[in-house]
Amino acid sequence: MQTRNGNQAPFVEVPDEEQMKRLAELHKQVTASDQKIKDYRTTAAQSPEFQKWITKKSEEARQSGGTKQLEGLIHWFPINASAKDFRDELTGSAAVAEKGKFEVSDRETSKALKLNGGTQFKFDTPVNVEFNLPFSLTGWIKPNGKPTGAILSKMDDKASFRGFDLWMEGGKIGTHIVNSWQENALKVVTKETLKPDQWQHVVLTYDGKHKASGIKIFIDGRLATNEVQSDTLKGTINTSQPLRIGSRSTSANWKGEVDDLRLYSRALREEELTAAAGGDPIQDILAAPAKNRTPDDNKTLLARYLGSQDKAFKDLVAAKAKLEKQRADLNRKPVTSMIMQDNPPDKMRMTYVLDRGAYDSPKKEEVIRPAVPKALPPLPEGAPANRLGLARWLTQPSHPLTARVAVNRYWMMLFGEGLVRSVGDFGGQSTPPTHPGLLDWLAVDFMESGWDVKRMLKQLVTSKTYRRSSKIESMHREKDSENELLARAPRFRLQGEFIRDHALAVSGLLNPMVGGPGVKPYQPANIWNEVSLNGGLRYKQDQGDKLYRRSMYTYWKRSSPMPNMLIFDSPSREKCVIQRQRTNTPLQALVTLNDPQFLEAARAFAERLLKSGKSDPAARIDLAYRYATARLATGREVEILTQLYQKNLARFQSSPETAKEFLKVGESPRDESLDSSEHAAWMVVAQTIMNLDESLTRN
Amino acid sequence: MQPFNPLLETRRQFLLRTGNGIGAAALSTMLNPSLIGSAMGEGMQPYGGLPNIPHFPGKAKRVIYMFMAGGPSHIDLFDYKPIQRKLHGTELPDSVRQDQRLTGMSSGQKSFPCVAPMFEFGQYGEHQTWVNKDLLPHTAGVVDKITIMKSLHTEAVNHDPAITFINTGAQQQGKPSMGAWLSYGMGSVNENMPGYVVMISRGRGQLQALYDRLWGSGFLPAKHQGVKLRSAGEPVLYLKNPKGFDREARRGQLDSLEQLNELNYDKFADPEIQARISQYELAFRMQSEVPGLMDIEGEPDHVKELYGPQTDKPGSFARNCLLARRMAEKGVRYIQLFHRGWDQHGALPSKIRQQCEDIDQPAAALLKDLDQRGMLEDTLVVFGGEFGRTIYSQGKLTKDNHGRDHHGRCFSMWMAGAGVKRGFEYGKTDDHSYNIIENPVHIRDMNATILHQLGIDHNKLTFKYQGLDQRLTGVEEAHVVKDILS
Repeated sequence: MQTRNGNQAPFVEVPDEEQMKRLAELHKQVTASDQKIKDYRTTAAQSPEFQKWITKKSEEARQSGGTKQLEGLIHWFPINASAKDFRDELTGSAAVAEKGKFEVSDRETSKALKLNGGTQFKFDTPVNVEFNLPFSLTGWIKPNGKPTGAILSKMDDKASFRGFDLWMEGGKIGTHIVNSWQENALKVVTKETLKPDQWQHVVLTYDGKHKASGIKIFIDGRLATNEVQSDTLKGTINTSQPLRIGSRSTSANWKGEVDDLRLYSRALREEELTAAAGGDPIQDILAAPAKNRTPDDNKTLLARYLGSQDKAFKDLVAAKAKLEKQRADLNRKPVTSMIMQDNPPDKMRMTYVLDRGAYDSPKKEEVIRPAVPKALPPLPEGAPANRLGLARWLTQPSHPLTARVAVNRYWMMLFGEGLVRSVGDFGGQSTPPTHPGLLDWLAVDFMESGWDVKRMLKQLVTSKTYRRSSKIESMHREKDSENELLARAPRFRLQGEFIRDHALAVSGLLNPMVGGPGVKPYQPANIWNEVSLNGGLRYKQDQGDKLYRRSMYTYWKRSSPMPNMLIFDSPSREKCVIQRQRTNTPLQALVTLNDPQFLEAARAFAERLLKSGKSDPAARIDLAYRYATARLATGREVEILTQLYQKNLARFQSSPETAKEFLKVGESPRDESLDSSEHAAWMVVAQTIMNLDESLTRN
Repeated sequence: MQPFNPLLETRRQFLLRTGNGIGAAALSTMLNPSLIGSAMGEGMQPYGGLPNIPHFPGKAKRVIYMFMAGGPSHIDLFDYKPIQRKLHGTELPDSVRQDQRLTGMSSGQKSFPCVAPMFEFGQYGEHQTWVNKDLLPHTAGVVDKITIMKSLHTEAVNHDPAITFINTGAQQQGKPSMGAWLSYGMGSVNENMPGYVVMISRGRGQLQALYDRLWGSGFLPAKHQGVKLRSAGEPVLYLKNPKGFDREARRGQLDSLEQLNELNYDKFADPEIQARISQYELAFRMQSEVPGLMDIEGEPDHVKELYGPQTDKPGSFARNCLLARRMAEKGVRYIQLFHRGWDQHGALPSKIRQQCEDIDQPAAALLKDLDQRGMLEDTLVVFGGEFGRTIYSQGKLTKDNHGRDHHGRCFSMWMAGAGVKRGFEYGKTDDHSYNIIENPVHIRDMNATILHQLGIDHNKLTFKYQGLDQRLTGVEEAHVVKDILS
């Protein structure tokens, strides 16, 4: 959750590794599912049951005389009651719900498909329709009011609407046949509108001669008057987009009911219209002698057989549809990040001098254009006067500030104070650098490395200066109490985020995942609703490894920030704070002693020690010190902590319930095979080590 | 063998010096660590504060500010006029509105009918001031102790900027709150208590948001920020030990921790190590002392009854008022009680009744309680919100229901104690309680007056930041409202 209504434009899509992994997995699953279906079909086609069924059904069909269906039917969508039966009857291609759910209504004795304006289905059957081939579309249509949208389409919105559709606009019905809208396309709609909320039979025929005059539209058997809106079709309408019912590829959802949609590979004649309005085309295939059947006919029969008889097949198809829907859903919700973008040139906001500074008195004759201060170098050659130009200006080698300010801040982060003490002010009233030559050298080095931050930080922490001892000798106190000359390493408390990260790291709980949305770790109850609008905003804590990400990923509510961070002097971020304070308060002690985040870390740290393979308390204490302070414990330290361990072990052993309670903190599971009194006692030791001044300090 | 060095004062020596007040000292040092550890053999002197403050003797030693967040309707509380009964239902005249911009919430309305309060008002006190009889009977009973100011005004139109304005002196974020200024200027009081305490209670009306910055320290050092104490649940976050680890166990652990840290100190000689040892000790003491501070068990029944039935409810305004008196007694200089829920854009008659049920008796009780103990002489009490509400109805005006929109052009507050006139009324608005006709008081004037009663010249309490001598009262002129002071 980034804002109340999600990210607002402009934004970019951010590749989400987890999402991509799941997509890849789903893709594999869909392919596997598809293969299963193919294999099933092959087996079924050769099965004796299928032959028996054909024989039986053929007999029935011949007796009833068939329904004299029309030739050229290539796709047929009658609607049945169950979603699992929604398919192209001729090819067996099953419907996949891209959006919305399958809903039916009644049309006389049969069922119809209900499209609510947000539903769409796709079919992965190949469809042989081209700009120079005739075709006909027929169907029973009941529009909801006077809708606009595509009842059926095989069209790619993003590729200038290449493809074709059965289209309604404001109650009129027609078609687009498009190579590229609008300079290479046909569009015809009827002058008459369809009656709203009533069933009508529509037949649309196209003679394949890529002229609008070749399109005829019949409503309930009567030829309608054409309104030609585009007559420029010259090229292919082929697209990889699938056939859809209910919409186009990314738009034009249609609202209403449809039934018995058919696609023929020829232009039907007027006398054939009634036949297109009813009956069961497959009966004719069955009625005809077996030797007259084409391979396509056989495929159709197989589809009918599997679709009507075979539950196992239907389940396979439904399973694949479900996976495809999951994949479509995932694809639809990309992770986005908001960005900045300039207005188009004709919409740029003008800035004017304000008369005496009054915000509502701009002097329109005194336009202000973006520029840089005279005291600094000018904008580089050819740099536009916008944010890009500003970026180029800031990063040009001759700019005296950017790199120096930047390296000074990295220096401050690692050494406690910048080379320039007044970190936010390099101007005339600032503190001069303690080592001007070094500052400039670092700045140039930074720029020349390509502004490589990691490299700079590594350079600083591997320097001799950084690695000096921070022990204060009397000489230091006499000659350089403020440590400006850096004769010793600085010693200062780590910033709040590092303290939490450090606890998570030594405990082994730290989730090193980089990037992605922020997370909500533990927080005391009711903090948000105490101050939030309407007291209604509740902090919904995350679960699992989201609780252990680095602190910079913690969701930050500026009017009521994460208290354990605030207590360690994190600014609220309502205003830019360049240099944090470094207080030393009992509230901080309470956090590292009682905050569940830190208690849980201590528990996990203890578990780490218990499972380290070392069983001797001294060895475990050494290991703990190595993790927490990067050195081994001294003999005296081992003594003190061993005593602490033994006292607590005795205490927990004498009342095992307290051990269990103490260990219960945090959501991560505990290894139950570890003895709870021992684990609890080591948790106390671990926590003590994590609370050493040395653990909380850059030594 | 280390030579003796005053920097190396041990914890034991420190504790011996400070003696009894250690529990209360714990609170004061929650944010003010300079009180411990870094002593140079001076003994326990009041720390901090600017050398020339107070600029002159002030009548007030402390302030209790009852902040009614959301914009309480001044018309329904204190600024009623009988003529409003006649104006009820009539359109707000242009001559009164004078082209004031309307907020986005009511600008779409086609009509702006004036609404007289749907409550009974009475005249009270020696000066016969109008007070809502239905909703504020207790406050009505103490009008002879207070000064009601009816001519407050602010430019801010909406809650966030307005509440930030009145608490920090500017509509833009980043400036210190008044309490932080006082902590910075006056330092810690002798009595070892924190300089600035905040408690929040919720009304039942629409709750506008509050922000950390309202009691923050802005660009002043962090130790001057308000200490937020919660009267329900843990008064201080993370105060309680975890389950299965009692005080005795904690004591043993801290003893070991201290020994280890002392070893570390011997190696590095960094005074911060000693300071940290002391912090852990203070944390340990706070765990036992702070809950006691928030506990009203010891209060006699008649006192609890004075504050009303809600006093028994932790987290209520009534409870917070009683706690405020206790903190005042212990020496906290600036106590701010935020009561939320006054933003009656709609359903005003029923909602404001609930709000008043929450605050009327406790606010009056606090005055009486302080007065009885002789503390009203040097305690300044303030009651008010960030702006007022419009005479015209927001939304439909029916026989028994209506709302009011925000109104910053005039609103009412009251003050009492520490030299503020008793039984006094200041400032006048027009018949519609819409415009000020006499003695306007900008909120910065109000703030200047509060500082004045504490003995501070608001022009001279400054802090250099971003090239400016920053002040609570900002860059524009502000006046002390001398007419309300005796």
